[in-house]
Amino acid sequence: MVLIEKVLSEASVTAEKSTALHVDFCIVNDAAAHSGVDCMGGATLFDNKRVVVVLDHDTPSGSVEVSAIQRKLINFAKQHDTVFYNGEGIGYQLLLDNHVKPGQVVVGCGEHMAVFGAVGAVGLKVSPEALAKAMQTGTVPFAAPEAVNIELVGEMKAGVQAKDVILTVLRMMGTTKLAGKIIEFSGDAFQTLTLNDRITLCNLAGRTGAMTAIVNLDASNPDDYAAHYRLDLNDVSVCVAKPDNFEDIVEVGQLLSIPVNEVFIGGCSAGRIEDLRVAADIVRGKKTARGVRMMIAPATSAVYVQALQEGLITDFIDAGAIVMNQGCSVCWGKSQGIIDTDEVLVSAGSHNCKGCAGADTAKIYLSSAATAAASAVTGVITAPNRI
Amino acid sequence: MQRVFKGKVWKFGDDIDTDIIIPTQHVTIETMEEMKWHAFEPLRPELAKLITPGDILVGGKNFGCGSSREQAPEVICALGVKCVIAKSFARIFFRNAINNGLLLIESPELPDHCEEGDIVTVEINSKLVCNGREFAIPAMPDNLFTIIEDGGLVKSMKKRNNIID
Amino acid sequence: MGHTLAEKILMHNTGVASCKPGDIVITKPNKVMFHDIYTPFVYEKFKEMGFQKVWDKNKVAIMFDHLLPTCLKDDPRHLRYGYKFADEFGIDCLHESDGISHQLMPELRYAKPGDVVYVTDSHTTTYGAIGCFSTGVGYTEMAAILGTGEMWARVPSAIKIQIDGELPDNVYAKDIILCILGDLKADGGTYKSLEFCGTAVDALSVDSRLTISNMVVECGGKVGLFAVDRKTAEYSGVDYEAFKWLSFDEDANYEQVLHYDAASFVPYIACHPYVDNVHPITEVTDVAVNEVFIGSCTNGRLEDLAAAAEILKGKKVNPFVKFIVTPASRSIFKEAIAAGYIETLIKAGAMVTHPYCSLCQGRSGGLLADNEVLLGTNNRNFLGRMGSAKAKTYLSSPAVAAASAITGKITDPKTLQA
Repeated sequence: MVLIEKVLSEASVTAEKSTALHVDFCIVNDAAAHSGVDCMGGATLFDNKRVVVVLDHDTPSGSVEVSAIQRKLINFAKQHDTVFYNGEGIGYQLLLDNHVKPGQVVVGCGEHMAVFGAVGAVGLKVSPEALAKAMQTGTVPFAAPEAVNIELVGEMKAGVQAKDVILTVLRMMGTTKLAGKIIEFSGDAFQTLTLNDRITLCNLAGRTGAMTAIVNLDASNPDDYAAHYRLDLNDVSVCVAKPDNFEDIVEVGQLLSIPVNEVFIGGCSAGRIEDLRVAADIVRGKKTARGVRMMIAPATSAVYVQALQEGLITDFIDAGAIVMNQGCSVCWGKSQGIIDTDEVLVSAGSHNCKGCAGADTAKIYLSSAATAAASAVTGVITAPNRI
Repeated sequence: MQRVFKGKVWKFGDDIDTDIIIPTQHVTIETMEEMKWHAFEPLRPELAKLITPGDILVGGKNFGCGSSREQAPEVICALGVKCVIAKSFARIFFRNAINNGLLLIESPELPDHCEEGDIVTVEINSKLVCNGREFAIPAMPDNLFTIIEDGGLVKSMKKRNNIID
Repeated sequence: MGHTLAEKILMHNTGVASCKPGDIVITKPNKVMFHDIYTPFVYEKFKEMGFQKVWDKNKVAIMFDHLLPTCLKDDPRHLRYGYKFADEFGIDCLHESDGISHQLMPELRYAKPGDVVYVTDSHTTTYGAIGCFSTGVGYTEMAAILGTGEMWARVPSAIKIQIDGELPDNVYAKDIILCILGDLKADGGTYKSLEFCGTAVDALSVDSRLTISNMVVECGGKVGLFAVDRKTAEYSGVDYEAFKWLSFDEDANYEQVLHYDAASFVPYIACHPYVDNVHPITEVTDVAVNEVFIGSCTNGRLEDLAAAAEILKGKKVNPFVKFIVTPASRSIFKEAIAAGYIETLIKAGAMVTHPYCSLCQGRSGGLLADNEVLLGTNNRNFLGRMGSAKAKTYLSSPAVAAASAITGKITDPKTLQA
């Protein structure tokens, strides 16, 4: 069956065709969502334990302006006794690990809200004004969209990661065709795709233009959907999204030698323990290339501690990497790992738009954690199986 | 270098540190011409625009304390300040100023006897005159005075390396 | 007539038979280093002066510690100048991201007992802890030294600081130096050598001595020297017997001798906005703090992280306090991981960053908004140094910082142990 219909009917405010949904969690962070607090006026919250305030994007704060925003959020969290995370990692990951259950509805203002589809929940990106309303009323206006099915079959080849799969999906679908729709991922590939893989897939699924995405292991009938697409993971190669957008996704093998200034492993699509393990396996016993700044940021405190216990952080330190604190780090690009005019960043994060990690003319290639790690060692964009 | 000159006073208190003279977030700005507009920003953000070439800064004790950043005397030079008079100077700032050809004059008395906007007359290695009062100043050690006369350490080294401007 | 430690090192370095305060001597540095804040300036000045090569490439180090990770768009340019200088003049000793230069210089034995070392940073005084005459210079002087291998120095007059007895619990090297700075004031040591001795000083670890020497510049000091003992010799990998000359002469000429009883020290706080605005912690207890920072060339060493971890073990910091921890070097980071300190600190709620200057460079890493209050273990609390000019900064030992992170207000660790 179409999972989204079930979720939406259960969350629907009225019995008839839904025009509003009950919200389980609202995320307020120091990126765009903070202005939702300004829209609140003095209103009270529908449920203080369902509002999650997170300082994660520019932590520790890189400017007086951001500090003022964070101060406002701290005061808000204190005043309303909300759930509050202060520099303990990326909001999406903290909610996935500690709060969100299948079938729930989460609203926030971030680009990657679809990430909650990884656990069968619905993440919706809304405006700060709508977020403010949701915090007061516990509901969000909603018109049920068309659902499309993307069936993933087969297994990934060695060196290929879920990031390469979603980049291949993006290449296949483009960035406009699915505008306003909901993607349901299904297929036998999910027998081997881990939770981390699902997080990465859903995280970037919104870049197709889709409203959100969700993993539905029970999707059996393609005819239930407005459209059906199929991808065999055996056909997926190591890919990168070229700078500035998601329009130009190419296989790494097709790139000429591109020298790299900085590498980032972390963010909400490549900062979990599995990603750090893959990266550590590649750099262990090696050194980063001279002049390459290899930045690593564990997604959360829990990931950081796990990585410490597994010796991964020590591997990174020995390899010459720069291990930063848990949080969005370079991917948000406000104050960690700023890149200069014409510099090249290979990022396993989720943002590559112009100027999002420094100079407008800097170039950000999005890749898997494995490709990023391999590139840090060689100093040029490199597929992991070339190491 | 002019042995006698006069200038208008901008007055500061004790312990003016280099973070006040030029805050760290501005020290990587590519040119002194741009950087100088941030001089004294935490204390008096409007000041850099008000200082005119030939003016004189007057401070209390320990002027220039804190970090070694040489951008501090450089922005003061870039603003066209003729000299800094203070009760005392911090060590690294002192050396950096001399090396940039910025004249520093220690005077324990003058700072207590002048106000912002006063005119001070400087007679190098001899005395200061302000509001009709005279304040004796010591002569500078030879090795330092040579650097000042050369126009700073860069020019001094160029001379040593036989490079003609 | 005996000599001060500063005079002894300057005589040893320059070969003059004797010297006295006020003499100008020409030193030949054993090592020099410049860091990323100054790389473009050093490069440009060096070229402009007309030098073709550095006087001795084996005596030159370049370190990136303020600007890596890069935080503003001009930062990578400074790094490029570092590589450019290294490539053009054959400098092999380039540390790209191995920690704070003032930790690396003694830790990697680039600065050693009896040496004269110049670095483009005011906290170069740090290596005085191992009997090294080390002091800060500007970038123009650095360029001149790189070309000539020489730098003039005025022989400083000296203050002897004798500390005897045993330190109370919860009192650390940071408290000693804060107390002294409060007494000497921000210019009380200007141009001078501060020289530390006494039974309490003998008992201090090298790490603790580094904390003390680090901060002598905050009273204007040119150097902050300790005699060489067996701990120093082991730390620096030198033969103790060969450095017995670097000890105190009874008949040396000190312009001032300060005596302290170690048992009388308490935890001290340097209050906003001057390092010499020092008060016993009891006078500022209960000041609310918004952010706590443990790190810097003053207090980012293993024993500092250990002190913080001990207090925070099994505890959580106040949820509304931002808590930032930055080890001082790559090797300290690793040791602190191996000892379990980093895990303890993260579990307590810390943001733990890679070793670098971190918040103390004042350009990112936890800048303060208007009216916020920081308690830091670093060395400066000047107006606007770490964010808004309307914010306030207090300085303390790592133990006080850790205890205060738990309560959200300035707290003596003693009160948590009761």
